[in-house]
Amino acid sequence: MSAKRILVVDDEASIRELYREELSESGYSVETAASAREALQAVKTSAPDLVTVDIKMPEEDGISLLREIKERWPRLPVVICTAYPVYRQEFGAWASDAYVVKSADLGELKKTLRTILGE
Amino acid sequence: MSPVETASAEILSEIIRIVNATTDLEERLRQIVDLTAHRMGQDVCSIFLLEDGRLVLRASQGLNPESIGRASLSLGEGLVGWACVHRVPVAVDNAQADPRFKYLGATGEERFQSLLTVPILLQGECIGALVVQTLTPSSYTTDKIELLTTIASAVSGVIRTAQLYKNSREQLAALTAISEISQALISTLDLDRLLNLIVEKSVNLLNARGAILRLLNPETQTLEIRASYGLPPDIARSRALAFGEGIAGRVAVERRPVRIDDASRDPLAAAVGLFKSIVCVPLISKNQILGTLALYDKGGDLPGPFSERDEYLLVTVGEHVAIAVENALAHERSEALAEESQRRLMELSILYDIGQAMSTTVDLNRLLQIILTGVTIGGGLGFNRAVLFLYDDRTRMLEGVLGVGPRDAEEAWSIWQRISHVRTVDEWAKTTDRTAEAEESALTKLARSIRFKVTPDAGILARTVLEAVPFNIPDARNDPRTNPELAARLGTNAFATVPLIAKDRVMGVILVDNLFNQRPITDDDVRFLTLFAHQAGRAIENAQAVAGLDAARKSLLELQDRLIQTEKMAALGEMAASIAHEIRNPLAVVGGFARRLMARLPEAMTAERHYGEIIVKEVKRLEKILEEVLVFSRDARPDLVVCDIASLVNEVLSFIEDDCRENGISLTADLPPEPVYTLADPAQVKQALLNLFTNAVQAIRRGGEITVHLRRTPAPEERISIEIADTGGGIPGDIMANIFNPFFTTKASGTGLGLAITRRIVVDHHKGEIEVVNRPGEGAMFRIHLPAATVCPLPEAKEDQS
Repeated sequence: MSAKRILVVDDEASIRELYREELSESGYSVETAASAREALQAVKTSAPDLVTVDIKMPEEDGISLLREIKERWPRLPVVICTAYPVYRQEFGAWASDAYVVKSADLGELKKTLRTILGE
Repeated sequence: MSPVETASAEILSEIIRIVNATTDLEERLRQIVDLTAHRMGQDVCSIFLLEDGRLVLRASQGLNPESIGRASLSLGEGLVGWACVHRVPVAVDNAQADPRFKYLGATGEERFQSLLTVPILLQGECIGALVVQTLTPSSYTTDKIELLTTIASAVSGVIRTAQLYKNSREQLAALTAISEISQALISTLDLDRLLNLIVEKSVNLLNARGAILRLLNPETQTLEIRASYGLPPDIARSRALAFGEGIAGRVAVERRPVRIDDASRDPLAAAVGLFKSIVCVPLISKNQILGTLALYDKGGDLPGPFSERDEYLLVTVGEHVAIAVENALAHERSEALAEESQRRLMELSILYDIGQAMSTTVDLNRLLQIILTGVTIGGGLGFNRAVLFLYDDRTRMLEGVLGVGPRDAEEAWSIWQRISHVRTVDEWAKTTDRTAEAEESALTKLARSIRFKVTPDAGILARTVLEAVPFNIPDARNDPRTNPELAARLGTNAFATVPLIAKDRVMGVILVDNLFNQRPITDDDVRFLTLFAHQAGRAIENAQAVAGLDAARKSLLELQDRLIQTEKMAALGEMAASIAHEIRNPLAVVGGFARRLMARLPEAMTAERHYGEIIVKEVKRLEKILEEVLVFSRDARPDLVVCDIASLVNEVLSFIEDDCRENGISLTADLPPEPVYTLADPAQVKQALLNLFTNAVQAIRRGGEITVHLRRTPAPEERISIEIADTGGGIPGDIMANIFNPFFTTKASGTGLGLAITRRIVVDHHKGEIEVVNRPGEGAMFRIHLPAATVCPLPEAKEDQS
């Protein structure tokens, strides 16, 4: 079985780097995008199995990105990965399949990915 | 001088000699009959005296001595009786042949033939007869008759002298006795002693068997026995008589003496059936009947009924006695009055003293302490124990607040020893502050366990409040007014309750008892306590007013504090929300790479690994603080989902298990076997619980116990309650009010947000409740109630990824 492909969307390079390294090590094939535009492009070209999105990004609001992905690829699992624990209710239910608060400990994120990807 | 005259003169001079030689009438008569028989050459000479209508043989020479005082004739009977009736001498040669002869048995006179008798006349009245007899028949000459008549008149004189002498002697004796009684009467003002003296002296005066003195009790209007003498105790203890009842009752009504010669014939006296004769006189002073004095059974050498003279004497004595009794009664009344005013004065001085002590403070606790001390201290009201209850007329709850009194008899003794030198309550209040001691006393604890709603059927304490009157309960076990539980809890059977009243409002109740010395509580005690309670009620009202002002000021300050806190929190929340993103991202990066670094460092680089660990740990702490602060952000809302509280509790337990084990703390969980579903934010609930567990662990430090109970309370008030109890010594009383305030902490490290967060989560985010049961010195128990939503778990979904 080939590695599952994950697209990490975050405007902070150090976060992208951390996630790439951690998730690669966990056996995922990781691609990253720094903006909504880059992200839509990457979904189209690489067809990831799952996307993680930070809901607050410069340039384009992460929320519109979520809406667009859900419209165009309704079956693509999206995990919100954010510094704001307080919007869980607003977005957790309709815009994403999971809502993870960013932490130095990636244990929760990894567990969420495993659950969604059915591993 | 004729031979008769000579003989007469000789005999008369002999009689004068006899009279001079002895004062005793009997002896005189005996010697006279001897002399007469001898001088007149007679075998028999006798004297009969008229006593109560009968001629009684009083002296005799020649007749059987046994019959003296016994043999008697009625007037007109026999030759002697005939002579007396006809007042003429009778001389017969052969007496037994005379039809008038009446044989007197047992005298031995049947042997005698001739008889001469002459009546003894005194001032024209016949008082007896002089008789001579011979064995052989002989005829009496005129000379002899004349001689005997002369002798008879001499005998008459002798009897007269003797009677005068006896009368004057009796009169003297009576006067002496009355004077003695009068002396005795003025010798004492002590009523009981006086009455005893009266009965004793009266018995001696009248030579009676016994006496009873009754005095009128003005309250019951009965004649009560107040003194007796010479009578069996059961008679002396006979019941009081009403007016008109019995002999004394009759005397009291008629105000006249009653004299009964033969008690067996008198219906009143016969009912008693113990006495032969009675004389009873009224005791009257200033036209008021004071009582009666009765004497029983004339005794001594002349047994028989009381004479008129006795009655007269007793009336005289009665007059003196009445005055003395009146004086003694007046004295007794003035003594009682003096005693009463003395007591009032003492009560006033005690009230003043306690009032002084009460005025030294407006602190309610200290005041209550002084009040109860006033009730229990020897220089105060002197009860053994006192318990004070306060009444809140808004909630209608009566609540025990303070108890003062020793725990047991031994402690009672030691306290009495210790405070015996303290004279007054004021002195005590100024020198001693025992507030703390009373706060912790067993009686105070007992008092504080009593708290109930005042309703008419809630027992004696409730009635004291509702009726605003005192109650004196001498025997609680058999008193239907009391609730047996109260007496049992106080361990007492006799107590009194008085209301604390200020301006017609009942502020509370004071309960007192004398458990240790068992001194009965008198109505006077209760009256005094009530007086005191009025004073205490006013003092409490003042103190409460002051306390109310103080509390209002405090609550304003607290409100101000809270407003400041709220502002602070809001600002903090906004700031936290706005910078969360900025901080969280770099933190995640720092921490994330530190972890990666750790994973790559070889085991040997211990120092570097240690540094890495520190970074990881500190980042974790920062993230936690961030999370806590965010709860206060205006936008923080719970993410309510169906979750199993039991499994959340289990998760939290697994977090702290290690911590507990390391510190020797045993962890006991009482969780239901089935899931406990409700709508909640699992992360927040876990955080709320974790804060409580963390506090418990920190309170215990080492070696103790934490227990957690989870249960769903049944409908209609269905909710989920989680209790977390520790043995960490509880929360000090002075910080209880602050524990839920943000930034309040007793720990060296920590944000001070733990309990504030827990409350925010439970109360604000989950519409639940949180309560604390604090047992200072033992431990604390936090109880969380969450609303129980009627929910069932969603099936494990979210697999539609395909």
